Amino acid sequence: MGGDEVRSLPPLPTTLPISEMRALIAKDLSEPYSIYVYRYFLYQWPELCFIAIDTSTPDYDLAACVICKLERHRGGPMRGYIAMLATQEGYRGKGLAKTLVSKAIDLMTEKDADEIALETEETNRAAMRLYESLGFLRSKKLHRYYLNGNSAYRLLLYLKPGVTSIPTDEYFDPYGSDALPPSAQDDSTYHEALGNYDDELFG
Amino acid sequence: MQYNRPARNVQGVLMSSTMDMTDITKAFTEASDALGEGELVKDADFTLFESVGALEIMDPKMDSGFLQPGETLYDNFNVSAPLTAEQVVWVMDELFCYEMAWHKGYALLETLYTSVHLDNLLHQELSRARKARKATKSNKSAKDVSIDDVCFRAECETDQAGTEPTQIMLIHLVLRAYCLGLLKCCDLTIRIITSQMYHEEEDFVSQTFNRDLLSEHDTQEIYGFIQSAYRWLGSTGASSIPDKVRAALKDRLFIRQDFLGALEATIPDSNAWRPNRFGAWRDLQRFASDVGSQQQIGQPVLAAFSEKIQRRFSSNTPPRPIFKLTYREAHRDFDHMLESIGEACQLYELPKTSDCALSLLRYVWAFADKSPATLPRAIMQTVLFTEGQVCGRLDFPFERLLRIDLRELVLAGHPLISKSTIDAETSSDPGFRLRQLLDDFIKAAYEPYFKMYEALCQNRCRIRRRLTHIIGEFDSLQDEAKLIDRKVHTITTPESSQGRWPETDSNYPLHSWVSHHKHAMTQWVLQLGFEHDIYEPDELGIMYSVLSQVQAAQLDSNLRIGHFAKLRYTSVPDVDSYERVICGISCELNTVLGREFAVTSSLTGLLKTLYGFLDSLGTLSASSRRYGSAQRRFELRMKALQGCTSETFDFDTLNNGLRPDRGLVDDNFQNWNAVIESTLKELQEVHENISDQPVFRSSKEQWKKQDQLLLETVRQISERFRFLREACKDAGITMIGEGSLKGKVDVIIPPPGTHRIHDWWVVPEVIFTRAVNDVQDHKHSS
Ligand SMILES: CC(C)(COP(=O)(O)OP(=O)(O)OC[C@H]1O[C@@H](n2cnc3c(N)ncnc32)[C@H](O)[C@@H]1OP(=O)(O)O)[C@@H](O)C(=O)NCCC(=O)NCCS
Repeated sequence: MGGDEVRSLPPLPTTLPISEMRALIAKDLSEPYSIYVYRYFLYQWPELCFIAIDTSTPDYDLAACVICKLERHRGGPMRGYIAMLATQEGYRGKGLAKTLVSKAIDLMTEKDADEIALETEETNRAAMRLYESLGFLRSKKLHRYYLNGNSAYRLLLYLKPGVTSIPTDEYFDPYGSDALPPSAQDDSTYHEALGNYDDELFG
Repeated sequence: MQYNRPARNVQGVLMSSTMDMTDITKAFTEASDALGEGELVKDADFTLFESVGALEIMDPKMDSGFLQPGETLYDNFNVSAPLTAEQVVWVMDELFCYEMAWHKGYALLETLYTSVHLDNLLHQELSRARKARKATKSNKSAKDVSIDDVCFRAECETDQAGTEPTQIMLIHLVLRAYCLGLLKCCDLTIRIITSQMYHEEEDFVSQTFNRDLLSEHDTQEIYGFIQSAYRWLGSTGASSIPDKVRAALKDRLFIRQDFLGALEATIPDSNAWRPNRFGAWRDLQRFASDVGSQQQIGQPVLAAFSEKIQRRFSSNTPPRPIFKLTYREAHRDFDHMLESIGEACQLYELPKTSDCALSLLRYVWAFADKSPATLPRAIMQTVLFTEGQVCGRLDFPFERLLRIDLRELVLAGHPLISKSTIDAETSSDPGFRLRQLLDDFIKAAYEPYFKMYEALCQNRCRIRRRLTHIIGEFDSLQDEAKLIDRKVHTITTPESSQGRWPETDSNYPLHSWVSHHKHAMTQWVLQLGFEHDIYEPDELGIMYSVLSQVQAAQLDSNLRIGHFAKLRYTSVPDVDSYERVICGISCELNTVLGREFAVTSSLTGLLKTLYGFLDSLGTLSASSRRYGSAQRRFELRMKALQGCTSETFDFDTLNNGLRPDRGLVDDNFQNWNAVIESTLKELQEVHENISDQPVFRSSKEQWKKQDQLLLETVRQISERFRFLREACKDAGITMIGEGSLKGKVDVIIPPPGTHRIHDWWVVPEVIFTRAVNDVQDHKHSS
């Protein structure tokens, strides 16, 4: 990887280039995330954030980053979640994203994750190829998941046998821990939709 | 790199004499300055949901009220300003495009609410309602729902002295009538959709952002406006407008009026006179599609729409990008929507369809197959689920449909529904007990059965997800069915029934019925997986194997059901009786189903074979995946079928079953060819010689189309085999399992949509590798 270096972050709040990360991720997002979204992840799971910096540049430019979390999914399996991933345009196609995501998966595995989940836009071939080459499968399609009207795929990777038979808590607070479509952020009826059994069992 | 705090702007705090306010800015700033960089203070309830819902004030991307330096909140467009007739046509067309975008699932804020004209009317409606409420409070007998006040009113009245009367009428009569009609259409649309099951944001945004879309006004009143506008256009007052433009205006008003009327007649609880609803929608479709195909003659007035309007709305979402369809796209969507609504309403005209549960189910599937928009799906639910009026029939509760379904499939001629059971009066009568048992079952089955229909009225992604759960509910129901079957059996065995019923029911009819529907849904879930393109190329083989296993179970249960149906048929003593007719229909229905299952099963088998063969030739192997294993991935796949506990899907068995038999390639080809030939023959005959019973009549058109698609699919599979035979010959491969075509041929999986004959049957494209570059254009994944 030449001058790039992949490393796990020191714990917050020392030197995290949060606004650079935010700028990098926001570039490819159809909708803006508030700073709290970044803090939410980085403060609680700093070790699951990996960045690649270009040490050949004077300011150690940020080349790529991945942001994740890991917690029990509806009281059931230990689920890792890849929330955001991006590689700076000039650094793409060099294997950076694959390396960072692999690091995250390795650490989650070490931390006893049962499965890893994420969503990606149905038209995002690059992301889909990347994740599928790592072993993820599209588990379901989500109709008009994003604010821009695009549908998404939920991708899943099982790390252990028997994940499907880990019981989940049917009455688990559905908005407590699961990922949310950005487009549902303001919508009170979404609470009802989530309360709907539909999403609770088939994650 | 330092994290920059956004500049804090604490100026311009709202003050009001009735509020007691404390400025906490200083305390807050001090407290937050005491925090370290990046430190997050949150309580345990602060979830991702809250963090995603947070907006940053003064960030132009998130704060919809943020004004750039020098920017004003209002545009200076005068709604009373004269427009030419061509410009009015253009405004109407733009409104229509935004309306269709809203139907597609975009919020009013990012679509219709960009119109300065609508904004003005909605504003007038708001003040009208406020005034009316005040008047009611002070007991003044104000006519509080008059729509007269809902008219265009400029912020500052301009002098209209020099304006021609025609231009005044164009705005204040024609455009206003169109806008009122449009708003009322939106009101009715929201009422129809929200009365049924749909997914907010995903399917449709019903939010009106504190505006009232004329919900208090009667449709008739708005009709009146449209009609006077229409009349005026035909009068001498409008004679200065060129004919073509006048006709265009009239067409648009006409469509608006008819759309409004059709919606009103479709409202489930409206007292409106219901003309032929199907006819109303079909006529509208015909007319609208004519108008849509005409040349556009409008002249743009760009200032009549503004992105800024949404800023004045109280919204807790970031400013949304405006979404617009082109005029052609809007008409195409409208046409598709009207077509689907027509199909839903056609059920009102086809009462016989609901006489037959299975043909109704098939009808609803055919409707769902075209991915109808949200409004048609809501209307379909209205047609099906309006209390006690399935398909508009009086005294036809949904439960009856369930009873019909049971009778058709498993209970014709069965003691459970025999006349003596229905007539049994005393509790000592075994028939009385039987009736109770059937009622128990109906009670238990009602909800899952209802949900199955309801699921089909959701968007395609939701259909799959919901069915996944409903399968589980049918699975649990199956145990209950078995229990009831046993009890029924003890009552109806000859010893206990003293020869009252013949011994034909050592089967489990209710259990079989549940099993039938459960297997059908399991197949749909698998098929929708193909349609949604969720399987990877190297999984297709095993997924068709799974499908094949479910089909085998389905076929098996069909044979059993059919066998007992025949026994009951032949044991009906009176050959002219109603019972005999009912039994006859049930037999025929089960025979037809059996043929259908057999033929789809053959097709599945062919695809399974094709993928197995491609794999044995080394052409399907995916590049290695870094994590997980084939076993784990299969486990993940089977999660969707977890509810179907009666089947176990074993990876190794299914996987081994995919391998073609060892031996000469040529021998295998001969066998496969024979299967192809017999499948083609089966397909040609599957729906031949079927009686003209109503049960079948409404399905015949559909069958024809469906069978044609399947025939083409089999022919395509046949071509692939032929190609591979040649390729093997070229490569000198004579024995199965020896030799590979890797690097010689490429396999391309066509994406769903236009590249497959049928989205459920994925026939891979197979081409010589050297030709790959030529077909890069439609190379999708391999
Ligand atoms: C997706 C993204 C992160 C990939 O970053 P990257 O560093 O260029 O990816 P890598 O170089 O590690 O590529 C790894 C694999 O991804 C796939 N891939 C990456 N870019 C691809 C492209 N443009 N087309 C097809 N596949 C692509 C390939 O399979 C590649 O493996 P290979 O090179 O061995 O064939 C990057 O394109 C990006 O930032 N996109 C915008 C943000 C985004 O979509 N994030 C994902 C949201 S879920």
